[in-house]
Amino acid sequence: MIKVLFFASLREAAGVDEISVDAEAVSNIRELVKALAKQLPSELVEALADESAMVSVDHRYAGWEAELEDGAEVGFLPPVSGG
Amino acid sequence: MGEEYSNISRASAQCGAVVTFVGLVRDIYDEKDSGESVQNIELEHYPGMTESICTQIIEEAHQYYPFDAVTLIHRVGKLGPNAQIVFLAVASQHRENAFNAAQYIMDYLKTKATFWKREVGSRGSQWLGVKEKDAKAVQRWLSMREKNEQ
Repeated sequence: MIKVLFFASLREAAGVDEISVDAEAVSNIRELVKALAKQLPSELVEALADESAMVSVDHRYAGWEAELEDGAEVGFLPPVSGG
Repeated sequence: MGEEYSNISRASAQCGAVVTFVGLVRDIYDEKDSGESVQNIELEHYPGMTESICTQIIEEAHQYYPFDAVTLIHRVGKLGPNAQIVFLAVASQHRENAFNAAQYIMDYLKTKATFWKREVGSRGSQWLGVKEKDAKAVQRWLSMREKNEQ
């Protein structure tokens, strides 16, 4: 399984903070987003549509083309605002 | 804060400089004279990734501006006006590296560390994003690095 986490505005758009996706169904971030679109609100799909959100795989920033393996943890990250 | 300063100032007998920075919650929006006020902020983060990114930023800062000790504390949760959000202290032999490393760490923290801030106030509730000036600050470090590597 792939563990998917949503933060801040993207969590609100998703309506959940975490979801699991079958690893066999997706091999990269873009395929993951397509799989999420089938089960999560259209607000999230719209928020991710332009690929401007940052993505992490196993706590490291990754590109939207990043490959995913079983057991990976993916984070969808809106623009940060700490400090 | 006093205790943190005391700890880092004793980190090494070779330290000749300690630079500290504290980020506070403001009760105003960014635009001046808007007449509106922020009641509080809510900060969340990505546990695990935040620590990993902050460690990476500190290691990079150390690589370019070697220092002897660093303390970085960032709060999360609900914070009211004037509350301390972030505390950073960098100790080094001379002030140049302490100033530069502190600035480098804060600039990258503002643009890369996985914290999210929501302002709650007279305009309702809204998530904040990376400010243009912070993105420009990081660009400045990148340009400087490229220049030094040439």
